[in-house]
Amino acid sequence: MKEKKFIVDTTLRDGEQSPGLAFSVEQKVKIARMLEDLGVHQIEAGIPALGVSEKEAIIEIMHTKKRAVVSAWNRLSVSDITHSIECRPDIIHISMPVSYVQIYTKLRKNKKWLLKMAAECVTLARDQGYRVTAGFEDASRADIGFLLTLTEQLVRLGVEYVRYADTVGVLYPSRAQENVRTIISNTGMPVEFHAHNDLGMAAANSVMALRGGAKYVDCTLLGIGERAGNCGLSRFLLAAEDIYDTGVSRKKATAAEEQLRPLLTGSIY
Amino acid sequence: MIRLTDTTLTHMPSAINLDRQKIIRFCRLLRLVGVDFIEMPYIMYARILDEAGGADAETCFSQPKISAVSGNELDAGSLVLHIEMDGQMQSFPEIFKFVCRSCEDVTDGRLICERQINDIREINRLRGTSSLSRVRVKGMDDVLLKDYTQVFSQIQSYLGKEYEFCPQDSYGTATATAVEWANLGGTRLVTSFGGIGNCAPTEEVLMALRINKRHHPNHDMTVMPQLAGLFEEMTGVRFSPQKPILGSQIFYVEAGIHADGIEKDPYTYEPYDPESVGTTRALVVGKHSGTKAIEIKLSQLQIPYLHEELLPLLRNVQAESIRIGRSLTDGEFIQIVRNTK
Repeated sequence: MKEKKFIVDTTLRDGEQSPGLAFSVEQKVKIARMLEDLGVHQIEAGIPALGVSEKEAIIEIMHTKKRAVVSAWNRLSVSDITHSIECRPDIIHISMPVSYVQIYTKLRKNKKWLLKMAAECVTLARDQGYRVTAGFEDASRADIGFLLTLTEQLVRLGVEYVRYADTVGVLYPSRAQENVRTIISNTGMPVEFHAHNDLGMAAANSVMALRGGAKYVDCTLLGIGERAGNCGLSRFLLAAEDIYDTGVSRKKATAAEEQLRPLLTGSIY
Repeated sequence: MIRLTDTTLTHMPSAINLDRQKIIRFCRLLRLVGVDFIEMPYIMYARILDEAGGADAETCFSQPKISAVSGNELDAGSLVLHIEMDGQMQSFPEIFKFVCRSCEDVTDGRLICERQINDIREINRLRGTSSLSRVRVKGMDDVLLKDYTQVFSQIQSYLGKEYEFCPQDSYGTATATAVEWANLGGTRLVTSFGGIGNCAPTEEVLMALRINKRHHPNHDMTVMPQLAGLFEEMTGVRFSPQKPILGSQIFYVEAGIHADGIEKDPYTYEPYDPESVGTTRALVVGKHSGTKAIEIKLSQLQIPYLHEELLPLLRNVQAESIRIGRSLTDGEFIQIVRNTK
């Protein structure tokens, strides 16, 4: 019997961040419905802080969905989380930049600030009764010791699972497996793996992260996403279906991708 | 030291009819980006010599030089001929390396015998090839999904360390398999440009090895767009704008958080410098832009603005992007700026 793993589809969040794409409310709801029909476990529906249209889409997806878990993506910001709470998603996902370059150069903050903000933002969402997951942005270039410290804090705060993000797509399979295994064995926190395809290894890295103990894996339809894209759903299933039970049929996923191809591959202009 | 053989020309449809100058240029560009050996069908090689009026290989492949970089000129020493029978080696005394699928019990040091292993359960078949001087193991599509460390170790016990490995891509994992094989000490990899022929894509393997193992850090990958263009001309295949390393839009950025990060330091959201592969980054504005991206775009277009104008402008850009279902051109952006003021 194959081991059960769970697909988190981020077509409507990281996928849509692919330059050139701008889904309407109706298009987002349509894609979410197709994802639910495919049997994906979780739909990352969007970024409420983007504005009224995005919130409207997430609220409508929440109204129409049946079994799938719907999550909303947030920066490490009280304001972002307040926007998310207005949409009443199943899960509030909070992204936390964790590499040196992300914390010190992009945010111009430090690790102490990050630990404090993580506690503040998670507590805000948890106090409102939300399930919370945390995203480790640029985890593949981060200090693993800091990741363990942060994860231990998130365990105490009641975060359900953490997303290990290979944000710039530079991991290779054995390292993906090892890093995921290290987090799980040291903290007991369940891990979700988020790959980018910059070196053509997104599907392989995702499978190996599952072999390292990750329970969830992020995909997008046709692999759309920033730069060379994310882990494509049907491509992931091609590599993983002999080993894992995700509840999603590769044949149906491929058909859905082809049906949506004109919508998902719009030109930049 | 990892040695990489590119087999693109062996997999090109109608290879025999390809333009001679294009083939030679393609080979030289491959050498520039870091390929050590270039494999081609022996018929293609023979035709190139024939069309050159009986000139020798050195003359055909060394002039004109496209780079002054020492060691990057192409000569017969960097060619591998794909032959059908081992006896064909005798016709090409200037070539030092041949590959053949059908050879048996040949001990000529110039010949590499290709063995197809479709499933890792077949690796026991390699035991019988130990009498051959050199072996290329091709296939093993599913090895990464198994206990690949143990499988590679077992193959090494049959063939020694010098065998070539050509991972195939039926599960979409060939690049990763090549990288893991190199991480475990493998030294002779076989790939193809763009992954033609179901191989690991040469450009992905080269960049992955450069980033993770500092392999060939000084080779000139800025010619990648030229290589991709030539490949598209020769095959009729068109690369996706998102194709790793080669895609025309892989360094376009729209998301506000990414635009802001890249403005501060490109390393935040780029795995390598776009210019290192002959391309540039570009900022587009649309639904996912933030105020920082709007600010950068205004500066790029040399449009003066007040700080309090940024948020209303952003909202109008996002609304228009959602309305038209795509990002905005610079012209459309300028029009929105005028309407917002």
